Amino acid sequence: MRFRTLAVVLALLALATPALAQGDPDSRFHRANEAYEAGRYGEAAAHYEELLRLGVRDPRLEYNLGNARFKTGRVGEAILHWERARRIVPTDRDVVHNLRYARTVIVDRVEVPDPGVVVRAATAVQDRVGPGTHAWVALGLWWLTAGVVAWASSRRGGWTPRTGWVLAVTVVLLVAVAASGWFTWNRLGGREVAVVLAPAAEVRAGPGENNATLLTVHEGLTLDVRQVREGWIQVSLPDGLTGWIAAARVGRV
Amino acid sequence: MASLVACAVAATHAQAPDDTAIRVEAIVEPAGTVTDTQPVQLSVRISGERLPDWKAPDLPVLENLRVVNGPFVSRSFRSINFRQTSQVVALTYVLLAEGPGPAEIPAIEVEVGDERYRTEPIRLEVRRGPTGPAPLGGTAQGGGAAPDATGAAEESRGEIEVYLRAKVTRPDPWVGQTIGYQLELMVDAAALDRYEIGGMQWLDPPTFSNFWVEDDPAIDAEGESYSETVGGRRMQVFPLVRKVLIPTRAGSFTLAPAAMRFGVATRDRLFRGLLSRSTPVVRRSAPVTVEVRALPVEGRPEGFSGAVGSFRLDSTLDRDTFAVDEAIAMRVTVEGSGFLKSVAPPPLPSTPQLRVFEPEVEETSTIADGSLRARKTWEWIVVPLSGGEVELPGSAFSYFDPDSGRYETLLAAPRTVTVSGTGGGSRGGGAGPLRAERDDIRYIKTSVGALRERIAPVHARTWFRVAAIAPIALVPLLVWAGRRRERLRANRGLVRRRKAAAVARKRWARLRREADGLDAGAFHERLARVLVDYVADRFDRSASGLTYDLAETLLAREGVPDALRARFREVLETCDFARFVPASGEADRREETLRRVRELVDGLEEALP
Repeated sequence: MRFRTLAVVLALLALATPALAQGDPDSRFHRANEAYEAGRYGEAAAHYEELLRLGVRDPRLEYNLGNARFKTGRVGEAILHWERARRIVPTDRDVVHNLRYARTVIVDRVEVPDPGVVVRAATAVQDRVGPGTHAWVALGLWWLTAGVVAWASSRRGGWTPRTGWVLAVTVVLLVAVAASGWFTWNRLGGREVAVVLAPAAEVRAGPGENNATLLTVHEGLTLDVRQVREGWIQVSLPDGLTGWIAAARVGRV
Repeated sequence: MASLVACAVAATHAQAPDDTAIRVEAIVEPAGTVTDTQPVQLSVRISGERLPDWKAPDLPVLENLRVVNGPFVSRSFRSINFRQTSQVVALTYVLLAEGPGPAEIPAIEVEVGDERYRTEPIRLEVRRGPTGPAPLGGTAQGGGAAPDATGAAEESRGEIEVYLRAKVTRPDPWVGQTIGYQLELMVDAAALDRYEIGGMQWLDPPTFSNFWVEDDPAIDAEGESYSETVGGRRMQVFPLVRKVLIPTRAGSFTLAPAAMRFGVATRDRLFRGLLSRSTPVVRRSAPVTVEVRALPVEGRPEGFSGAVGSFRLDSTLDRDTFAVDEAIAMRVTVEGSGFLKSVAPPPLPSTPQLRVFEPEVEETSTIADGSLRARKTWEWIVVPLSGGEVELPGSAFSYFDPDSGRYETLLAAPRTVTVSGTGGGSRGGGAGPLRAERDDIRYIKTSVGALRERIAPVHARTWFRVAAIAPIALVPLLVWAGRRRERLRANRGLVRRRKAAAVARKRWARLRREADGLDAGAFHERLARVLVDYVADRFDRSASGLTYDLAETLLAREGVPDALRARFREVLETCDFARFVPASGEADRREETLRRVRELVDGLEEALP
């Protein structure tokens, strides 16, 4: 009798385990990866999207979903998810590479004026360091500055020329690192952008179909969001062009 | 000049409000009957013995007339015996009739001094001017051409016959079919040796509503002139304007006449033009009617986008080898005689194996011999999505052939290509650095580890913000603490007082540890010193001069209760007794005395301020 009860419990557990596993985000993520590895990109994308619906916001999830969408030919959605992954981990080299590669296969090319060698080099360093490291270094320098001020102010004869120089250097470094961090964050994750998801979308002079079409943009182009009005988004391109695009034709990062 | 008929007609007297010497009149020349290619000179004359300030009039709305030049102001004086007797101001306008029919110059109001004067209205009859050479029998000079149906006789009294002629290459084109338009100046060839024509000025340039217009900028009127016999007379023809017109809809359309003014002067070879006199001449072309035919509906192919003419289709690829995800430029070119600007690209759909992007368009056109040759190229970027045998779609282009009156369709056949699907990796084996043959996205992230629901950036996390704000509160605290420590260090008495209890407890603890190694005398001596040193520290005094009485007095001065002072005195005396009577200092008594000293230090610390 006891043996029979045990067998029933074990059988129920055996049945319940896959069901439990199915609801477990990590298991679903693992199965999505397996589907991707087997070339079933659509199925993998469906699993990843289900995890997003469950509220998971892991950079690996956004990155893998971008990959799956790219493999199914939906470049716009791929760029959208890679951009979201970059928001979370701006220094991830894989994300940066995929975004760069995807932009070589989209239709639109936006001419951006060359900022010069110095700015290019500074930007490359910022990209590699990332806003997180900037924040850490700035915090350390802030504590160092506060420590120097506290030390010098708490004792008689604490403010000497040497103390002044040390303080000046720490303050300059602090301002430089904080400013660089702010620009890096603003460039990589702070500004609001949208990605064109439709094969082609018209950018109009105003928020409405009755306004003149300024230009036509195509799937995968990333646009800066300036303001949002009911059903329409005012966007701008890096080269300064601005206009309104139907919200249904883009995905906001 | 014979054609100059000096007839001052319809001179109107001024109607001055009072009977002064001021006179204002309007005069036209010629008067009565004019043609619509004949300039009419209108003069407003203000005369008087002495003219006050006057103001140029605003001409009223003219009926069937328009001002093409002026006003020109001239002044003249008349004097007798060096005494001015009269003064005349004339404002001259050049008018041109809009078309045949009655014309009128209404009364003109002129302000002279403080008074207003009005001229009498003038009426004219306008007949159609010459739009082509006179029929055979007319003369090129003097007598003028024989009257024709358009009333050219009046105009042809000039010394040279000159006309404007507009013509089209095809009077009944199809919608979208190109036709040539040419506006020409025709001059009597026999008179060219004796006359010069110059100073051309448009009065009515040619206009083309319902037509798309392509200009031919390369026109050389002198170099492209030719002879033509019209009505038995040899005329030299100079092309002035050449355009290609493309009708945009069906119907009967009339190209409005163009009008031009120019000067005709006699060739003065002897004095190199010094004695030549230029006569202004206006000429207007005859209207040209074009009957535009609608394209037939029957047989119109699907995908036809309005091309009319004769074309050929060409399709090329930019490479011979193909790989998955590698862009291929596929060009389709349509070239031929006809208009292609409005033509849409041939449809090129995406397939499961191919991703087709929107095409780039390049277009060129040239005008040669009055006809338009156009070339339009669409370039699609096509990306194979899978390897193996992939079919690149063909393309079709339909147009209407006006010569045959039928629709034609040109086809570029589909092409099957072998797409390599095994890209990636490196092609090593040779000298030089290894390079990737192609690029692709990087692989997915399969690293294990719990998925996170939310990862905030470092600077947005709570602890980071707390850590960033903390120095603002900590710095004043540290400064205060540091300064206090400095202050305390500077006041040694205060420090000694504050530390008295701690030092006493430390000494007491050490004595307790070392008690076993001490004899009774030494133990009690050190124990008494703990107490005395405590009081000395507490009152910042030297322990050496501190007697028991003095210590008790100091304690009393600070308000220590009597009982506590009595215990203090008792403990010290107990210690003194034990120092000199060692038997009284047994081990169990030592513990008792130690405990009492400790309690005494604690009690005094509490009692002292």
